[in-house]
Amino acid sequence: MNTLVMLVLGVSFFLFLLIGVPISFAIGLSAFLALLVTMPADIAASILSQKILTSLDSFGLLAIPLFILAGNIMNQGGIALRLITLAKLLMGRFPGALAHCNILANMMFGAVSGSAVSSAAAVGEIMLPLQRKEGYDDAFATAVNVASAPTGLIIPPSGALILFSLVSGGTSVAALFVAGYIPGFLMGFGLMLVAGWKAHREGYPTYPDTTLKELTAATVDALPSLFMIVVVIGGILKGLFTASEASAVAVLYALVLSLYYGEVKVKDIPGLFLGSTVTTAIVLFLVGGSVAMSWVFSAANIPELVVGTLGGISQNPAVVLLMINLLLLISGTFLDLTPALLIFTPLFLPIVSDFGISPVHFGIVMVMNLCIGICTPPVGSLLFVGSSVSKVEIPRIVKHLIPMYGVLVTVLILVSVFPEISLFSPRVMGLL
Amino acid sequence: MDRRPDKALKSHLEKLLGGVCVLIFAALTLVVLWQVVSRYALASPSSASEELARILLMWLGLLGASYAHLKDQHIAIELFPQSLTKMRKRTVVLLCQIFAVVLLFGGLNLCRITFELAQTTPVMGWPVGLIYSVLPLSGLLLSVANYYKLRETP
Repeated sequence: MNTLVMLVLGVSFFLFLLIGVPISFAIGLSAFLALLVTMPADIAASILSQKILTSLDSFGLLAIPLFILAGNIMNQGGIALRLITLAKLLMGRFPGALAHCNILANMMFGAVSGSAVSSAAAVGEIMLPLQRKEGYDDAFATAVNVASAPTGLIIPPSGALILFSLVSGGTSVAALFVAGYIPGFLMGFGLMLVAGWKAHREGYPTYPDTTLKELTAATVDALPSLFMIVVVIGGILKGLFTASEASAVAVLYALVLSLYYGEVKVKDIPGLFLGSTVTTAIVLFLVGGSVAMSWVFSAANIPELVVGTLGGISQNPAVVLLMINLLLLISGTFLDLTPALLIFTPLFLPIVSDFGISPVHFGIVMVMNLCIGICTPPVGSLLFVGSSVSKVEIPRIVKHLIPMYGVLVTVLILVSVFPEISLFSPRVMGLL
Repeated sequence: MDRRPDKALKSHLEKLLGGVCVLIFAALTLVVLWQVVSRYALASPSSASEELARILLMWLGLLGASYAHLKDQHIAIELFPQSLTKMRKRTVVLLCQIFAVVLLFGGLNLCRITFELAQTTPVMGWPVGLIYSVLPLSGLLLSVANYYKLRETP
């Protein structure tokens, strides 16, 4: 019976995806079909509806829409622009200055906002025209933007790490956040190596030396934006507020600053909310369906099956983690980050816990892994956003992304094999 | 057949639903901010604000998903963008409609049960059936969106 449930779920899901059913509908429908194996349609419909709605009944989940909203406000309100200006001056001396600037700006934007998509859109829209003007290859510039935007999902605040904390049954958000800094920086610096190598080969220009005066002015200008890190992350670490409350504070802070800068007017505010509603609802609908699907999995005892299979192959924690990574990398190309995180965490967390792997370490590894998936076809939400910002076709971008995938996978393997890369900082701060 | 009044109706519906979502989202932000303020200023955290925020989030998720479907914004894999035949497009809409029907009937059933049991939320005492009513409502809205998708398929 359980095999039949699995078969119905898997086959129908891929079939639906293949013919172009939106992912959230495909997830919900195949979960419904799998339920039909064991129960009548009316009960299956009620259970599915209830799972979808109650999965959203969570105060912790609130952080997701509010961080998306804060990110959109920062994008429109001149905060992104100020961070980019600072990044440009800091990175001016390197060959391919604008590519490095794009990467650093994505890291900084990631450090103030919790969403990679608004980062890729904000930074891409400003950086691409500049890079075009200096003769950069469009497809290369887009690839740099797409590959570096996920650093924002590892560098806190991060919607993805909050989701992991929720679905893993309350892993400390503070510990996950602090653990994300070093892996996030490693990803960024790794990508800078690729960008620098390519820029050196192509002879992309460096910027004239920046004067201390310019640098000071840009820093002062970006300071109120960067101060958001102190408010949001500091507030969470100090226990002044929860991640959800911090996200609301981030919205207020970004809104006040954008109104002060005059780049957002009061009459623009409803539009900002509406734009964020669509992004938010897409994610929340995916959350609903994924939680329902994950419930179907556990009702069919799939997690036990996976534990048995993986445990049978190897007893070495590092090998098991690498096998899980491989499975996630493959699944991540087909599944978006949110459903993958929600469906696979309950499957794999019991296994890694059995092997004594810290849930904080596993959370970072899992989010880093799935970050690569959102930059790859056929389903790569960041790749789609990057492509729609730059109007470059996906295959041309992917050609330039290949060496960057190499770097991202290398960093992923390093972080997987050496837990201290992620666990050192939270341990030093006494969060573990 | 004249399609214009239909189009006008669709754009009215989009505006209305979008407006409702904006209000819910704004209320959500304010309620969470109020929770922070109330804890520090009033020294007694408001537990009603947490419950209200969770209800608003559920409504935002489902109504927003209907709005996104109406605007054709849900993510799908584009394996064959050129060869999207009429037949396949119709099949996709049909499958989406099955899901909408699941939400509509499953949701109605849940509403009926929770109203019959007179379940209420723990803090504010709101009827749970009222909160669940967003399920059939979004099932209905998704059906309307599917209807327009079918009509717009050339």
